[in-house]
Amino acid sequence: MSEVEDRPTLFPRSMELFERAARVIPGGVYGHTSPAVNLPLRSPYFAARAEGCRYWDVDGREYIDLMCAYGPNVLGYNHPEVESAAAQQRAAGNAFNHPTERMVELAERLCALIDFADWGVFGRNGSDMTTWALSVAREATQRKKVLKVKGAYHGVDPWCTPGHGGLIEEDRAHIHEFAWNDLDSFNELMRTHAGQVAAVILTPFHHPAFGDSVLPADGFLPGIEAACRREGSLLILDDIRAGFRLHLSGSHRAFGFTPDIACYCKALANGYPISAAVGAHPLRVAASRVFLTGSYWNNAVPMAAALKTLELIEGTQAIETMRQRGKQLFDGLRALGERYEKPFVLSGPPAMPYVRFAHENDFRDLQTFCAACMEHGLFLHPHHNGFLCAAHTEADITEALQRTDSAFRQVFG
Amino acid sequence: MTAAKPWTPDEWAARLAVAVVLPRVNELDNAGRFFRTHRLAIDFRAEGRSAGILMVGANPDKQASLALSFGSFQRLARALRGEKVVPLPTRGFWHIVGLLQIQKLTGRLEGLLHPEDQASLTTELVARQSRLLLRIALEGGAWLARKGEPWLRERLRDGPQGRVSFFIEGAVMGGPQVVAMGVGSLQVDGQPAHPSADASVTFASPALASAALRGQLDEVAAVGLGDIVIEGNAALADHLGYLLRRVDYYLEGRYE
Repeated sequence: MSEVEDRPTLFPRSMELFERAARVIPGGVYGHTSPAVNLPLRSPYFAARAEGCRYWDVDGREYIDLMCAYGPNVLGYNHPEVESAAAQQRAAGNAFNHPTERMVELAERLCALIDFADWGVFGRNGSDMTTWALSVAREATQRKKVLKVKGAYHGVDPWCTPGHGGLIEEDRAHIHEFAWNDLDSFNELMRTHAGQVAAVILTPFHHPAFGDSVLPADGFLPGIEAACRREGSLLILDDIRAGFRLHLSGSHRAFGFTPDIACYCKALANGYPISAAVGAHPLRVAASRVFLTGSYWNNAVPMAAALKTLELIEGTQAIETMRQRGKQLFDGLRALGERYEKPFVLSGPPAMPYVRFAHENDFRDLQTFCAACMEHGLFLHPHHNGFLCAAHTEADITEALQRTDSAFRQVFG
Repeated sequence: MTAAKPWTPDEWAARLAVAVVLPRVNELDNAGRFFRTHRLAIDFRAEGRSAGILMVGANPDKQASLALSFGSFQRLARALRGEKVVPLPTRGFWHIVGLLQIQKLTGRLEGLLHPEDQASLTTELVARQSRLLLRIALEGGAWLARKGEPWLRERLRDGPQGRVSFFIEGAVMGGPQVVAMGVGSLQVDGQPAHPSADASVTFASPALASAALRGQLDEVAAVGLGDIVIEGNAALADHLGYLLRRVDYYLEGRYE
């Protein structure tokens, strides 16, 4: 039980649930949805329902959502066609002794969409795929070392988790880091570990929490690709967060390079739990040798949802819609920031905006501002990049900017 | 000239305890008649080296020096964690009196910092305990960084930089404790103005601070409940909290 009693809150039901949760769940709510990494006491902790680009918390408060479930909501919550495809498969069955036809169809679909892909495999979460991809690289090259970008997020397994608990020195004995957009530091690492690097793993652009998103500098990604080819190391694209939001054929196409393996998850099935990795033919044997399974990894409903989601992303120009709405949001935020003399730094692709104030580095004003946005019905995260979805209409973004204006008036007016 | 032999975990633990924990005995009330009239300079020794000198007592005119030798740093580290390890040889009047007096004081300190029954502490003692634990954590981290402890040095080299302030509501502190984290350095700044830090961590009560600093609080849940308030760059505060665990690693002998 908390020692802080009778605190005024806009979220009494959330707090009540959290007190119950804290008794029976370590952390109360853990991971990226933990209040500890958002706005404790000043944001909702539990959701009740969602539709399109909006959701309602357990206190009945409505939000225009600029986080989209941290990425999975790409077409809109509760999308009728995706839900119908999922329901149809659910009626036939979900978990069996075997995979279903949906698995073959989905692998074929990904191979058709993604230019370098000759095969695909499936898991449930992003970490399933990034960790498996590293093993495939080690199997294929018979090398140990993996290079990654400092501050990049690749999941929750010991080699990459941003958490601290439960790790031992050996977990990262063969993981080495270089700085994003610093080809010199990368090349130095490659020289230091010449002949030992199994893989380089990268996101298509740098999207750390608590920091600006940074697009790749000219020549950075092609430079890494060239070094990998020269040294016989594999290039793994972690497209978990950005995949199918920036380019229908994978984010590497948006930034002009070609990986050996790419991993996808968030936008793949509009909220249904599935992740995927795809690769080129030369890695097929190595991929077949790395054991891959999970109790629910063959489930048919998420695969049916993924097939429908990919069809709709392609058929409805969803990626262009998200880009345009993101640009509308960027333009509107920029104008509001200037009007209130609190200019924003807006970074990342418009469909995945990262927002902060230019005048500070410690997030305090931004936290107060985002709390006010919550109060006015706009879910804007103070420490993590946001996400647009195809269900955001021009009117929704206009309304989101009106709510932002209200938050500005409340905090800085 | 030969390079100095790297310290073992036991040596780090012993030196850290002598440097950061034992001096806190001077902050105990009623330290006893002996220490009101005398001052002791106690040299804690092992393996032919000094692990540090502890100064206890008030009167510099009546200062006695005493060397306590524990044979190995492992024995010394265990003694400083409260285990019954007697330095050898123990002989002579000052040696015996000094040893008994310091054992009494360190026993009282240990009883305050890590009591068998936390619920038996009065509100005032919990407030004092929380202040002492916070100071040991922060100064311990700064000491380890200053001495170049390898694990900490590596993480300070690659980690984020900035200032984090700590405050305990209800414990008379005279202001927040601020830690500056830089490349290779960790420094306790004293008590500058609260808003100067990049992140601030406020414990809602001494009891919560004590529980957190003794590793007995679900801190993630506590933040969600508002029992710990983190403002500003929470990632920075989280990283510093991670670094400060190195202090407990040594003081609680987790390397064993």
